[in-house]
Amino acid sequence: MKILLICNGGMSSSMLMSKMKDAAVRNGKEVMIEAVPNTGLEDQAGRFDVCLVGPQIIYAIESIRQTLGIPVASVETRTYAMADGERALEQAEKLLAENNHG
Amino acid sequence: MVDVEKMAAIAMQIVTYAGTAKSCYILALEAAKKRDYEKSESHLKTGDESFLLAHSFHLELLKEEAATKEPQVSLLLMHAEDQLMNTETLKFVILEFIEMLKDKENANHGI
Repeated sequence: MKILLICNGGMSSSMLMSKMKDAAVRNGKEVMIEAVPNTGLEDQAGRFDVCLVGPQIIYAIESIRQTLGIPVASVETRTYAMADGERALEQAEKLLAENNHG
Repeated sequence: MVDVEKMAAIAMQIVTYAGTAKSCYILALEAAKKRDYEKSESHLKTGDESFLLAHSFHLELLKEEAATKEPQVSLLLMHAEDQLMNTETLKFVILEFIEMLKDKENANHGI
């Protein structure tokens, strides 16, 4: 699974990214995760399966979805605040699964 | 000693709640542009609740610094304060914009 994380400056999402990578290793999951700021997203189109965004850019979800053409959701507030890699990873998996069935 | 882990955790809370508030304020402006003032008002309220929460976490750090007399600085914390300030400015500007939108609509209706 390839996950794209987006936030304003790419700083807080980098923090969550490292926690998600740790969680993936702990659980033996094979994932590729990248954290980027909310600029120049056109270059990311076609590179990822699913996208999670930080709470700072919830308002931009619709335009991000149009640019990337993949499922996009905001990371749950608590998950983001606690930088809970495990739960963020679960959320990404769920988002992808829901979309494959729909 | 400053607890780096704890400080990073609090900084993440500030970033999250200030960021959520920022999103709410922008959504409030978008609703007002569509003349849905009720929805706009509800986004503003949610934003304020979140912003207050961000400030309470910030206050926690300030208190700790005052008590331990040790400066607590990290890049992540600076980023968090940046989010707080940014949201505060944006809120002020957005509230003005919404008022202007309402005035414009009233003028159009000859009130």
